[in-house]
Amino acid sequence: MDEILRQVLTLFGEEFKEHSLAMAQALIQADRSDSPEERKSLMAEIYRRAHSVKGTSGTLGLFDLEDLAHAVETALSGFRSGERHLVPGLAQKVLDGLDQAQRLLESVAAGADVSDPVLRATAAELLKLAAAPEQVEPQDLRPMTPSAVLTLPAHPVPHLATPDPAAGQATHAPADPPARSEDATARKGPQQVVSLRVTADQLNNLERHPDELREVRTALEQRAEDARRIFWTLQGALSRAQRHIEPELAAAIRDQVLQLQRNVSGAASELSFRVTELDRELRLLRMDPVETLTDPLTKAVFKHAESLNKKVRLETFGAKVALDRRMLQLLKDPFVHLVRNAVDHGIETPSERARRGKREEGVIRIDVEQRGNAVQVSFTDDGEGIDVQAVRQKAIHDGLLTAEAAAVMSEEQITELIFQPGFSTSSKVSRTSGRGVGLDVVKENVQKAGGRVSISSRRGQGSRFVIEVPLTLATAQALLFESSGFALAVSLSSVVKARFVDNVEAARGSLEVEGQLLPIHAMSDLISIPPSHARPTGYSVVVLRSAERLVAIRVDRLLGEREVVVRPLPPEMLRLRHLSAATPLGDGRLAFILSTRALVEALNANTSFAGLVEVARKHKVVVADDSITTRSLHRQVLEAAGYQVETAADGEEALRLLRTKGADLLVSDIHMPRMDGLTLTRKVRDEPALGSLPVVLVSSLDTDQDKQRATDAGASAYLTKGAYQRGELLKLVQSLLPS
Amino acid sequence: MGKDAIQILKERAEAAAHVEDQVAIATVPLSLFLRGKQHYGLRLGEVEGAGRLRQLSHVPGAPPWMVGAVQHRGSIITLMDLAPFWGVELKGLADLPTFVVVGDGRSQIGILVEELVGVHEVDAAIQPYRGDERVGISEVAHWDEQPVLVLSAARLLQDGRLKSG
Repeated sequence: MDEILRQVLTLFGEEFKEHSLAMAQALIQADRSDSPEERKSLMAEIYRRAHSVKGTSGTLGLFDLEDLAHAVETALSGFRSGERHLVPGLAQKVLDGLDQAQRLLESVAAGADVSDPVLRATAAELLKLAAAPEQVEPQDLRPMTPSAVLTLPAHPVPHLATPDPAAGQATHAPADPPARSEDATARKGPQQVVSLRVTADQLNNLERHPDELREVRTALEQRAEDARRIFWTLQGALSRAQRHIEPELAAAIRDQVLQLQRNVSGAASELSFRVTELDRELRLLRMDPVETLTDPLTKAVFKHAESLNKKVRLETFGAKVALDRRMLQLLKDPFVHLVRNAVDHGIETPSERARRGKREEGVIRIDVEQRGNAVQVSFTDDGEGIDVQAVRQKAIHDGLLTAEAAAVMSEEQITELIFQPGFSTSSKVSRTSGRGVGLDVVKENVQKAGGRVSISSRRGQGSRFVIEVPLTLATAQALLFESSGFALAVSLSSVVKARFVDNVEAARGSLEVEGQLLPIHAMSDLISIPPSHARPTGYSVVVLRSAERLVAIRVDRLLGEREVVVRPLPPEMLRLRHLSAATPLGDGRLAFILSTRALVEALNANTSFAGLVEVARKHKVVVADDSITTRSLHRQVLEAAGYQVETAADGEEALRLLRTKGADLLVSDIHMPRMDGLTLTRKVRDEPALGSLPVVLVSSLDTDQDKQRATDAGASAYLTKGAYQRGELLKLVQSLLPS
Repeated sequence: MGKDAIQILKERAEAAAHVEDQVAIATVPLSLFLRGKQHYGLRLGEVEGAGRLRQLSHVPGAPPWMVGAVQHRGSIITLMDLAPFWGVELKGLADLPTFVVVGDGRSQIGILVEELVGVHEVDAAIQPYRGDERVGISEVAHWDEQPVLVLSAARLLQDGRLKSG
């Protein structure tokens, strides 16, 4: 193959990946959406990209791919208005086609033939499916529910290796003309980009230069300052010597020195700009956001869940954190395996979930977080969790453990056995799970990356795999601010709100956020820095969230949001628990990135309830009260003692919270709108899943009859607001939730 | 080769060996710096860099000896002041303009100094240090008839305060 054509094909492969990913995400979202407007917009996006692929692939002689893109356009043309849901199986077929096209492009770039009968067959299938909606009666269309998309009935898959004779005709059938045929992207085609092979060491060496150039810039700024001083000294001297020197000469000397000072100053500014650009370019050379790994998983989860007739939703948080590409390469397989494993073995079928009182749609959640000198990625599912007994028996059966050894091992130790090579408790074998291959590879790859993987699981409630890899170089979105002269930052993902508080609000010393009244803490109360100077007009407040707790912290000045390079701290600085990392500012200074978790813990430690924190941390309490003040008060008291707290403004909301999120204890007011505390208690007692929940009713009603009514409704304890004290509530909660 | 030639070569070899022995025993190259009017010496293998202090970032909540941090060759380096680290008062400049980065191959730290004196051959007859306890100091050498306290970066970095804990 012509070398230039090969390069262009390689390039188109990259471009296609981008189109394919965006189309897949839009398709899944459209299939899931109940909003005609949203569906219309997503369809337009898919259509635009398909058209772009069609144009480029035709230009490159990839006619089978051109046919596929054309078939996608045709197949989706009936849904472009957004009025109708996609017909069952259509999304799956488009995704199959995109995957097949990706494989074709890879093999073509490697020198294989450009024709692909499988792709042609997929295109033909798509056209058949496209015709289907016209024959479907309205009552046969899927119900308009958000989750319906994931319960597509299994359709017979045609023998894809045999091209459908109709395919050729169909691809030349008149198509609905693309709505945006004038779209610039469709005409643009691939750009000429040449890839070079560069070693990591060469990049490492390059990265030193910006720091050194900054030093040069600082020196230049110093020289500019020197020149300015010389100018004023000279100015004075020339004034004193004006009788002895010609005015023209004096003016010429002044001008030259002034020009010198300006030139040096200008050079320093120019250098500053160039260094910032160099920094950015260097970062782009070796960094990619974690979302480059997580985004394609949406499609993988969708397809895999559908093939198993399961409903699964993948949620990703914090994946904008960027990592070294070498690290991402090592993490690619573990990521894929963990989500597929969760779909295969974690999430139950919809009927099983319904039987267990769970929502039919399972959730896999990926959280990416930079913590200290590491990046942590957790994969949490709300599936059935790991059957520790089964793992124990299998380990004994396989000879990994003796029965005696297994008997004394903790559940955590037994669970860790699933990372052993060849270990699987599954009797079924799927394409990716059940053969005992995978979790050992997850562990091996993570270890190669210098990291570790751990697992925690609760039977019936789900599993959580946590991968932690060391931070070599990373970027993050951060909020920067100043406090007592220190440049500080926090990860933007933990920032709920940041704003200026005027004197009126400042006088109250508290801020209402998300229905809670938060006391405003000074930064100097949390970390050992001098107190800030008071400002006459007010101050800025940053509200942070950590482990479901909100804290409001007063700072001197907000500097704004930025994407920052995260530099790991040396070991001696890691002793300062409130610090997580540092980031260089453009002027050579460093801003220190604070650990939100440590700040919140510092706050807890300052309360008189610190002793209860460790014991109480795992318990969750729902507080129901129609008064925001009372809710906030309860929340503060309980959170300070380490409980997780969810709040509700009335009984209905509380009941919904209890049903969907569960809890270990309910604290409720009696008089509330929509559903009062007594009704709430009775309903709780009537529900099998909640029947044994401890319920504390708190009320200003203090008669024996009131207490009797509470007891009759099923309350575990009754506390009067008149005699209310923080300690009383805590003691009561602690007695009902023993460690 | 004749016997004379062999003898000559042997003598040359012995002479050369003797000279090397004399040099190795006589002096040791140390990187010298000045702090509190006292000379300190570092073995060359432990010095990983040095620089003029142009931009110092103070570390929030840091102990007194952790004066600040700088970027050095792409890494964050802590700058320490030996006086508060040792719990002693040292005379000399209050604002230290220069730092020297020392390391043991695994970790490194920057030490603020008044002046980098340069690399000098010091009297190899190094004596044990018997003064007030100062972490990292265990020997005394002599240069230009003045005592030089030999600072071991490896020992300094073993101190618990310089570990992540």
